[in-house]
Amino acid sequence: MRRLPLVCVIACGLAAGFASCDKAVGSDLVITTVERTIDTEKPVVSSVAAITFANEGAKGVSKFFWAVPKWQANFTGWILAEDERGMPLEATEYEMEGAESEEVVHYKVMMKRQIEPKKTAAIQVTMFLGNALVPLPRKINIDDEHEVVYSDLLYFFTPYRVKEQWLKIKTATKDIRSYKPKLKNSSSDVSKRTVSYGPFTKETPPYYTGEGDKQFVSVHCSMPKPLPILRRVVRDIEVSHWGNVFFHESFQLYNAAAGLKGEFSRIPFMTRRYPPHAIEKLTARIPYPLQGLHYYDHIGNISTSTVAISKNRTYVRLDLRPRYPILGGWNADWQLQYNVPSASVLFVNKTRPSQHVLNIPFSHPIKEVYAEEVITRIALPAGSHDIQIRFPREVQKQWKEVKWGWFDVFQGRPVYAFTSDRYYFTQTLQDRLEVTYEYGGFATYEKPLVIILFFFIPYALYILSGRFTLRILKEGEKEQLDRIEMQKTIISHLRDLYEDVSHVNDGLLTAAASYRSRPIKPHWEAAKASHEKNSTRIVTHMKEMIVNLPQPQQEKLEVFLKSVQEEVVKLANVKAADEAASPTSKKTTKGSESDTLERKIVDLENQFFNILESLEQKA
Amino acid sequence: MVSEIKPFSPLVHISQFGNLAWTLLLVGALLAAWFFIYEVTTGKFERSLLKELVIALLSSVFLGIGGMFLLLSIGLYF
Repeated sequence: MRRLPLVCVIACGLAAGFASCDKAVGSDLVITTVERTIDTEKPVVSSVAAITFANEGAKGVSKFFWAVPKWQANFTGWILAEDERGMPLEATEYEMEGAESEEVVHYKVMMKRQIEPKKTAAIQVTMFLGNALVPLPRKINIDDEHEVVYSDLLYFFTPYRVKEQWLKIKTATKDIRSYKPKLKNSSSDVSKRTVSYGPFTKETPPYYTGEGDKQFVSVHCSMPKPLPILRRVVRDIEVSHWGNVFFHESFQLYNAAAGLKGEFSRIPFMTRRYPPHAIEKLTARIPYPLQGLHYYDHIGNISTSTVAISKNRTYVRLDLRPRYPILGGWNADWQLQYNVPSASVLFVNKTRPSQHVLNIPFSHPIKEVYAEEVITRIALPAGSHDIQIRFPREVQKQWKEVKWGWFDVFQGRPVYAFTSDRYYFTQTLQDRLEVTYEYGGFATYEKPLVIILFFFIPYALYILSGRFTLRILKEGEKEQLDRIEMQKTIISHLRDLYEDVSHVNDGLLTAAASYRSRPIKPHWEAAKASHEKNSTRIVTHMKEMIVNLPQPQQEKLEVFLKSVQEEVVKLANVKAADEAASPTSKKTTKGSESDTLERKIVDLENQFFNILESLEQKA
Repeated sequence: MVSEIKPFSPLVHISQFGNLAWTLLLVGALLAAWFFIYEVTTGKFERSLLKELVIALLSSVFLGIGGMFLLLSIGLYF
């Protein structure tokens, strides 16, 4: 009821100034009958007007103008126009010139075919009004009956003349507390839950809003349902060409039902019935397939949920239950996120593979709840261009942004954003949004390359640092450092090579041992020859390296190499000869001889490593 | 707007992300090991820049693409 005084002023103003609009609308059309059915059963009121009209002019007409007073347009969630066969007609907001433009919002409905002179046609226009039910009383106890008032214009508001009209208001329950005005041709039928007016047979002029106290009709009735409104919905959609479309949606919910008298106490809440005007759960219907469904809210109020895939596998039903009921005047906020495989929403042009089409739901998944503001931001992959977007209905504002996400190094992601205010969708409405864009070529490989670069940079730095000595050097110190570095390298190689020599030597000693047990001369000879060849090769290599070492060590090492090889050959010969001669005789002397030789070799080896170590330490 | 369309399929099927991730990371790690063994066993003056760069590049290609698939397989899409 709080809107009524303001509405009255506007309505009176309209009635005074209607004549100026005639030219734009054209006075050819006359509405012969209109039957309005307003259904206030649900929180979102649907107002259906079945209209038949006649062309009384001389020219054909293909446009029909639909007028909504501004105060009502402010909470009109959707206008759906259909022709007599139920085919949807295109209805777009139309900027009308004249005094009415400030107080009336016009929609232009394009007819499928032209209405010739003297012909009639019928259309049906449905308006969904969110926020149209006002609780009365404003505050109630938790177990009181929840009652609402619905008010609307008594006469059909239109830029055309109307010959005959009816109005029927369906209420949520049989408890119709009151309705006004009470007229001769008005009646209420409790069993059918309706309040009806009409027929009004007196022809009314354009923009007629009634006279005196017969301008508005209001019905006061009990309403055992909450009145949820989404104050704000923000949808972020991120397209990844690696096979995923990510949805992140945040909701701010408000229950417009009657507020609570006094403080909230859990006792009456738990001991009596669940207050019917409190929001017990929230239902989202999200198109299937999806994965990674996730929800959270700031205060942890929503902690219970059930998820089920519909029988025909077209959507997922998610029920969220808050711990506290959301009573009248209370708020709730939560966020929902999920991933949709790209194959179900992203398409490619067969003839031009760089052209992609993203086809996603235009509406958020909490359908059948009126939203005051919906912000949608679609982030396309970095490098996409020539973006075109097609909406299933008008949007209020569109703009472009750039978003920097993971691995966006060279360019950000183009974001296409828009808001749709006063937003309502039913399950049956067509609500696909189509975004066409070009993407391909180098942009596809940009991110892998960035990650590869990320790994390559440390390697490159390591390689570079190995080639630098970051120190301030004295004169001549560089040569010295280089020499030391060289020596270190040589020493490490000498160690490696000596290991190779030892292997070759061990091979010879093994061959000697095997000759001892089974004296096959050719094998033994071959082993000796191969040892000679291999050890000479390695020793020569070592000698080449030793040349670069300082003089005293160089000589020592050369002597060592020579003597150790001699000793090894000697040892091998001793071992081989020992057994080949006689297994029993002179065993002890020969045994002690090989022991001496072994000890000598070990000593030599120790000397060798000592030399290397001392060199290293000096360096 | 667009008449002839077909569903978009990504370069690599989603089910292969995990396999690719660990295989490529393994190869990358082996190459990294080779690189570091090479670095510590050769002296400053005998390292070949070309060899170092080739191993480093190969290793970073495998680690990079493997790491990318690792992120994708855990659900971090970009």
